[in-house]
Amino acid sequence: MAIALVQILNTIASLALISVGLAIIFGMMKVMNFAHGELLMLGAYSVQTAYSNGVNLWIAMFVIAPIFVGIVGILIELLVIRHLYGRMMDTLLATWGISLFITGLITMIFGNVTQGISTPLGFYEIGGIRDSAYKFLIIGVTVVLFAGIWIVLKKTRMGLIARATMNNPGQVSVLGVNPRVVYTVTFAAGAAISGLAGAVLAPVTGVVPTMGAAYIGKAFITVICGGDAIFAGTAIASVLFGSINQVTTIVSTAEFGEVALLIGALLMLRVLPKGISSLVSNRAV
Amino acid sequence: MSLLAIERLHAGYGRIPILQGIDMSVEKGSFTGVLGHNGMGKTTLMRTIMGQITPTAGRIVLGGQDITRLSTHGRAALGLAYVPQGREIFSSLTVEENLQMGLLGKRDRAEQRATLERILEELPRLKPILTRSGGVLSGGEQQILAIARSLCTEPSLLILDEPTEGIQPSIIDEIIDILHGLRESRALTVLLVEQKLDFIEALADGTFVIQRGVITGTLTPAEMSDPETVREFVGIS
Amino acid sequence: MNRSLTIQLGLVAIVGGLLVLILPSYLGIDRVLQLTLNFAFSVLALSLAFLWGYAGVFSFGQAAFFGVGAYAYAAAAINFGDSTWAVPIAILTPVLLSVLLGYFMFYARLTSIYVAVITLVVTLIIYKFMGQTAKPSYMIGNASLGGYNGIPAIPPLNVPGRIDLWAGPVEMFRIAGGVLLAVYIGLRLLLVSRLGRVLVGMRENELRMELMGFDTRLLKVVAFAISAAIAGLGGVLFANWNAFIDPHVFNLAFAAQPIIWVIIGGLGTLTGPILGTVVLSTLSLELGTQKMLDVNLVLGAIFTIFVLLVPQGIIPSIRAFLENRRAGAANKPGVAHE
Repeated sequence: MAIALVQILNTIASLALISVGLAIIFGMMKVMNFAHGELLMLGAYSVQTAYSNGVNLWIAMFVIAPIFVGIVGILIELLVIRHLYGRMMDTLLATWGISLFITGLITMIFGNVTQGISTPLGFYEIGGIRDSAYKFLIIGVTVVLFAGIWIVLKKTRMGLIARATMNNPGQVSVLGVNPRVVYTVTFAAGAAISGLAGAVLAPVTGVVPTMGAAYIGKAFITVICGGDAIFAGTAIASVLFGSINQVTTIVSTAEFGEVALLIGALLMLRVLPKGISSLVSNRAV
Repeated sequence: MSLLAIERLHAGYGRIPILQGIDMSVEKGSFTGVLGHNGMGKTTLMRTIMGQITPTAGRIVLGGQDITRLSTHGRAALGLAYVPQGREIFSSLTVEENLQMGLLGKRDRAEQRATLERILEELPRLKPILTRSGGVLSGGEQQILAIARSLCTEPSLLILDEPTEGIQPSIIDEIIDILHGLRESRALTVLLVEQKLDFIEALADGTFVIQRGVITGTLTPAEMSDPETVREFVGIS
Repeated sequence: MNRSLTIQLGLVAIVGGLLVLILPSYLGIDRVLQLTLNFAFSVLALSLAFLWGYAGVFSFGQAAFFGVGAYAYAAAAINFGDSTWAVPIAILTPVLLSVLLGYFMFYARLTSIYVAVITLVVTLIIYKFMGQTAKPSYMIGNASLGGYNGIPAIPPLNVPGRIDLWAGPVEMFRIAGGVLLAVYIGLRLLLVSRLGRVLVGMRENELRMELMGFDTRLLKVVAFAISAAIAGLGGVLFANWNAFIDPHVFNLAFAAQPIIWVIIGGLGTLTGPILGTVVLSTLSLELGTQKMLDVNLVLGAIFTIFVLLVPQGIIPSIRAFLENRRAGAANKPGVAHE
């Protein structure tokens, strides 16, 4: 029973991790970044490459991966996204193109093979059942990350500008802030966080150029169902769908768990078209 | 000395021209009005001055500097402030956070706090509602907040676009008093756009009349209080 | 229906029909097979071109209807041993799905982004579900669904009632080509009909249509169902092309294909998406044969650069270019000009 609880928390945390980077970008710029899966993948490859070249695993995971993918994010924003502001379909196609491009590039460099990082931190045991202790790291990282996001949004100058820009970008420029800079920084932050997520999950998922595809459906649906509020929406949606996913998996199969998550999301959207955010106060981040 | 000069300005939306050659100037330290019906080009003019619309011809000069091609945030940095039609405060931010958005240009916390306190003295209505969310304020409170937020940037030119629209009369009087007070306490130049004659009459030193995208004349305060002249000139009573 | 349209469509039918009949004699079997696949995909592209470009409904689910059509044909043909009833079943099944889904979405008046997401999610649900149908209990009659391995040895189309007269590659080429022509002409006719014009009106201004008394919710479901039928028909062709179907047609990469074909070919036209499909499929194939650069890398670069430089798509850009040249000629001195 306790193990089941840990597994549920782990599924919730994993879902939250892969979604929040996309939520930041979507919340700020209303851009559905089709290259999101590839940002996660680049994070995984960063940690894999650095680690296999002797870099300490934790530094590779928490420092190198986010910084590298954050830089990639800046490049994507400056070269492509900023030329397509407001054109949703074009952004969809362009980011799909970027997704293919990155997948192709990594395939050329690393080959289409799955590489792995052995899962660190060993095992824990409850009631005679053993399970990977790495789950606690995933849960811990997610909690710290979300707390950090909340603090930045609510308590820092950058967070204030971000919230103001999300609310009324025209007025922000009247007050002397360049919205383009806000968008670039936001995209970079979303990318860096996605890189971190991909890196943290790499030991669990394995590292292959096409791994992005497995994430993107779930991340998209969690973000859309979460709605505009980055923190509250993503958190609540992850709890809801992560639970549905894991409980169904425990009761039947992993595939059915995924199906249940998607059906749950579908029903939720029917009831709350504006996402979970429409239920929380307008001051919530 | 003219703080803002506009020469032969043409602007519009896509293929629809609205401003058909505006010539006007705003004297430093003055309260200058722009009077005109809906659809005559008042808001288009203000938005072009602020840089939200790119002109197709003509020049805008602020304090001797040509700002025609400058970005909106660049103009804000040069001391231009804008309270748009409809207030447009940040509805998901608190009153205090709205003001903090206006204080971003201040160097440090001490300067921010000092400026904030000064603004709150000048507009005390905001003091008890600092933690209230912008979205739940009344129209009048939002207007005062919008003005306060702009003042936080300590501008040299403040543009007010129809500040009395949808506001109860008691608050309108309050705003008139605030603006008079500000005029005395700081070197503030104000460009005031309105449909309502009495608000402009109470504040403006001189008023431009805009009709169908051009300035068709000026009115002194004396001329404004003569209903005959006004009815003839502008068609607003 | 006006004369110029009649002439146009007549020409398309005759020329197209002739080409479809005689080309197999001149092309190698590889080319024939490749073109047959292009025809099947073009039908899929047309289903989205109609739904999105003319009715204004953006759907991520056309590949799902395509796949459901293919699977339905496979299951029916295997069970009956005869394709006669398999084809109508294959078209009806996605239509039923579309009516259900359409009712769910359009009667809730969901905005376009939610329709996009929901159609994507439904496609992924089907993908996940079909992927785990490997267990023997997942059978439709005699047909085992096969999980990620799919359904092999799908019986080919046969002349109704004559199982001995079945379609080989050349016949499939002609059937697929014929179907593509029929769908194209059919859509052109539909678009000048009353229903077609109402749908276009809905795309241009939904509120106005509502105020004029049309039920746009119902209209969207109808458009959705028509597009599902077309996509399902494409699925039948696809199932016959390789005598095989597997769940990959429901994955994200394939679901994005029709959208890419339509965008690159030109949204708002019918010929554009067909062109887009053929160009991109051929490009993918040619790129796949060379070893220097990864296919995805090149395609991705092309899409991204394309969007940045040619946002309207191939056909509309060509049209605009030709119009500009004509306008340029009109501006020459000596020509009267307002």
